[in-house]
Amino acid sequence: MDHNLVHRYLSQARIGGDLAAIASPITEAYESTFAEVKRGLRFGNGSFPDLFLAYTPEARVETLEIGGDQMIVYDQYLGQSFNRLNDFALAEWPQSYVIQWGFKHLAVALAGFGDTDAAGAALLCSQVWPVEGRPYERSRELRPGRSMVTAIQEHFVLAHECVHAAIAGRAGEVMGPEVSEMIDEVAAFLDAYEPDLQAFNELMIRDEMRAVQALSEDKRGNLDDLEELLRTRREKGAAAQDRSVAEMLARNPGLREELLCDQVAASFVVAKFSKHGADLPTILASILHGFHNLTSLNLIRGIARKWCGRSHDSDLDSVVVRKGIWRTVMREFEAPPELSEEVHERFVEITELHARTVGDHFVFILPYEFDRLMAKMGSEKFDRESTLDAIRAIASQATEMPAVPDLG
Amino acid sequence: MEKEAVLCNCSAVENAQSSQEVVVGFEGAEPGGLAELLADHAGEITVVRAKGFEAFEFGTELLVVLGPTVVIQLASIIKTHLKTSRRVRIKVDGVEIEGVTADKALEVLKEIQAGRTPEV
Repeated sequence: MDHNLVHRYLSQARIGGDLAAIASPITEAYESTFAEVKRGLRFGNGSFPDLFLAYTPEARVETLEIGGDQMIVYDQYLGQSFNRLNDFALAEWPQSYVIQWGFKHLAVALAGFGDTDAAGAALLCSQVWPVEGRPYERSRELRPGRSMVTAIQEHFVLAHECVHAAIAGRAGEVMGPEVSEMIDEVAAFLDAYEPDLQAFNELMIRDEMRAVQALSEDKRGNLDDLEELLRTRREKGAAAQDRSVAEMLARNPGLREELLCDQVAASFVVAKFSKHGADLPTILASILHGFHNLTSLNLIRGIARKWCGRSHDSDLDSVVVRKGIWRTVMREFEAPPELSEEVHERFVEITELHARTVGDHFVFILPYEFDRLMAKMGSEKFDRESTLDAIRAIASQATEMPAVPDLG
Repeated sequence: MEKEAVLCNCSAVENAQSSQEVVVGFEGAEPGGLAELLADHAGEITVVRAKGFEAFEFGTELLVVLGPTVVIQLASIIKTHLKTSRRVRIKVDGVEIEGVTADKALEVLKEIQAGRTPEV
């Protein structure tokens, strides 16, 4: 595929899209990872998709098809974002750093919708938001483990995209029998899979409750009502949700293929990282952590969508549904019975940790602070000095939790 | 011009004019009239099927070098697609132009083609 064409496409489709990744040891590592995925999936050279390494602020991975050829566009900044979000969670960074980082991604999303005033304000927040207590030591200590978590997530994303190509039959003639069998096996499993939707709902309720309970006492004090709200909403909506998930699986072939790719990619990643000494629960929990990170990035984009009046376009639902089904299927498909409970516990642990250290900040704090900032700015055009004044004003109260939002 | 057709308040559109390219994304099925458009403007349009990691299905996007004649035919296709209640996105320099309606599609494309920011 013509790389220049991909350049031209990305230049118009993405903010900063003309930025190709510059050749470096890091890009070589991605090329090597891609080759490894290709080998691991037993592809020959045939019509396997090419890899295009981009480096854009949008941090997106996508597959492009031009003139019958496929190209996987892997954004190096996604891996960087995964690494940062993993660090926030694993080293338990203070909320202020997470919010500061969230403002940067919010600025990119706002710019993509053409609101340069709001984008300028969010970008300035990402530069001057007051932070304190950076956990240097802990972050450094955890670096080797975190690097592996990030590597697992990046391999998973790349493998997922490659499996799409395999399913499309593009590389079918060169696909090894092992992968072909694996795809058949997972497809058969999914065909026969009848999700225990009651159990799924219970699992979600339990995770949400634990996430709320894991909040520190002072924050929880403001969120007592939220726990009850979540439970009521889940229970009231359970029947509708059962239908919704079941219908999505039955009627959406795209979702089924996504799940198939998720399972096969997970099997590949498990096989690869087991050789490097990682245990199964850790590998699967790292993948789930990656899904949580993607949810967080989509949450931030959702704040921009809402502000710019484009709420209808969200990808959030698809990620949440995939994540929910993936974790229930993974316990049954990938984990042997003796490890199933441990896998489940690790899933719950990482979900709690992510919610407490990252996810909740983007659900509750970031939109709240952004709304306050925009309210302070009023209808003013972006101006550095007046925006700085507004940031100073809201940041001085930034440690307070917002009121419980109306979840309807 | 009508007030509701405020489209974009960014400078990205002006900055993109050296190439006068846009990406036009069509939600749902392939837009009607695409084959004719491609036949008439083969060198100016590239069909890109794109699917993000989070998406369930590929979408049809066109990388278009805007010229005076392609603008008219493309606007007609956009108009037809929008009338079936499916969305169309136009992006320039990564910025999604807001408020592309069936009535304003031609005007938006002409503004971009002429190197101006679409506005009322």
